[in-house]
Amino acid sequence: MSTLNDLLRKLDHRTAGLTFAGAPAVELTYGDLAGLIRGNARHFQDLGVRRGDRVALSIESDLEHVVALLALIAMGAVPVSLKGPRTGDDQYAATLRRLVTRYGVAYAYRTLPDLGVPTLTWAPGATTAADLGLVDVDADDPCIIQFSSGSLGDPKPVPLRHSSLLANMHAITAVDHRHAGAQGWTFLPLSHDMGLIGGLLSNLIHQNPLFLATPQRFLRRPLEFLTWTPSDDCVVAMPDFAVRYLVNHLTNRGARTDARLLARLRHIYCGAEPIRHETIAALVGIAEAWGFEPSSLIPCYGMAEATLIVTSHRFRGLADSFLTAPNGRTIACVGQPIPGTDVVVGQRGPSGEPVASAPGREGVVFVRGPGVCRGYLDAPEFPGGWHDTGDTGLLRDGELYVTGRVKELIIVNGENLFPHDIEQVVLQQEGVRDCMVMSEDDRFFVVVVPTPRATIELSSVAAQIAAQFGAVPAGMALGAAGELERTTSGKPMRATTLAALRPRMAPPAALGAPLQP
Amino acid sequence: MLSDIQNHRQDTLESFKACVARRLQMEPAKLYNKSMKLSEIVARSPTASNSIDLMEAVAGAMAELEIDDRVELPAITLQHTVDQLIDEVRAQLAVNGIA
Repeated sequence: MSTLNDLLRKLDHRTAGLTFAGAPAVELTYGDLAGLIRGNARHFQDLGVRRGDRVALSIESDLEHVVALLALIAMGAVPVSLKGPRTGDDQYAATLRRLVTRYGVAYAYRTLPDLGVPTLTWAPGATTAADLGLVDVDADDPCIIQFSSGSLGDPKPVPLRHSSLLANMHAITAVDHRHAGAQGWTFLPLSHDMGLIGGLLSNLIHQNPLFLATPQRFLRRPLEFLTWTPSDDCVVAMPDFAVRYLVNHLTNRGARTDARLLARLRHIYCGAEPIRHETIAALVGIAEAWGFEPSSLIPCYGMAEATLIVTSHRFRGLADSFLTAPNGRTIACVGQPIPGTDVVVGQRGPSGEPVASAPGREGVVFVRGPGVCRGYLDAPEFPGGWHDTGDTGLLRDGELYVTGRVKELIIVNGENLFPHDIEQVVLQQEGVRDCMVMSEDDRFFVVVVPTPRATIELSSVAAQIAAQFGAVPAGMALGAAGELERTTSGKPMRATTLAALRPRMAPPAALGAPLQP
Repeated sequence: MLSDIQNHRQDTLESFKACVARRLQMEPAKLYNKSMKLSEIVARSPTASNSIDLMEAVAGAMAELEIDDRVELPAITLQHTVDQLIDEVRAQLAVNGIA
């Protein structure tokens, strides 16, 4: 099987299927799902969608969106996977409209705002056993477009071919030795590569029973799946924040929880954000109390440009799976590249291809392989197939350690934030003349320059940032015009500015009454 | 009898509020004084800097009082207010007859 459509054609009526958490939960077999996919593929064809048409879709963790996604792929259309809006993000629809125009999106799914293109709605009753609507596609055909890092303000659309998708899905199932008896669990957003590829699609290969929940549901009921499943061979992806949340929850509950509860988790992929030593140490610390086998943990590294996974390894213990840098920082090992994928740590050479650093030396991480896209949509191909990840790292004994990033990206609780996006929100505040957002180890700092005679309450600015991005800065300060360093072309010199103003910064909680500039 | 149950329920709610305040390291008087948005709270709390931290504080308080099997963590965002959070917990305490 070399295309997702081949896989969809094989879905059958085993007892296994999907369970969408909710009240009530929605359950169906893979055969039922296949019927809905075929019926809706035909339905979308009848609505005028043609092969190759791009269809914008924010994939929510419910049956409707999963069927719509797979039906569009089945009929040869190309879903464009978009993040849902942030709460209170008034600019979301305008941003999407720009993307629709820029990337020639022909349709939008009904749950998106009005984007000025025809809207599609699924047909919940459209189901058929016939192969109607399910077209033959080539392994080289585009399957889905996902956005790298989730930035819609500075979009990097990644066109995934069927062959890339299948290669990566097979690599994932090889890492955890997936078999038909394994039980999948996912609560990551399906608009995120780890949720979509790892959480949902990888389970189609062996038609694993799969329990789907939203991130919010996991936070409200972190033990729901573990107390529901009868399986003792469960696969899940948990970014660092989710591991931390689960550990804290169990610790808070103490003896009131089944002491073998975590024995069910045999494969926990941990990635999507930096893997913190303290988080893993906390998990290892409670392992015995809740029956968890630490080698069930699979620290991994990946990105949308590579479909999903690039490297992984089975946790070997705190001493072996972390290294301590000279500055005392602990850095997680994310393992060796998956078969067929190359990872080089170095610098970009004159041809655009990487020149490797000496073993053990830090450099930029480059990846190439069957899961890696050829380039961004409507953009030049990656030189020699090498994707410059923008992350920094080092290789030791063939295993990758990701040390940081050169790209402007902040990851908070698995969600990617961009300094530019935060700056745009701050600049909309009354009395703000200029601002700059800087990052350091996934904490971010904000300097605000007020207009003359304006009074800025930084704690209010912090609250506004939190309302929109879900997190407050680690430090804030008022600055004067000219203190925000920029290049002659106006590009922010964030590191230089942070270094200069850091001593004046204070956490928002320490900022009380309104401050005069 | 009914007033006893209501008083006990009120005690549970007050204990919950005190636990949340302690976990957020904020004075209860300041935390519950006016209907602050939760986004303002994460900007003022020395321990919570994002929505997950805030949910952990609430979930931790429920677990500490051993009401988390019967009272569900409210579906909240940072756009909600602390009053909405407390009202939801109060309603669940009443529905579940926690006394």
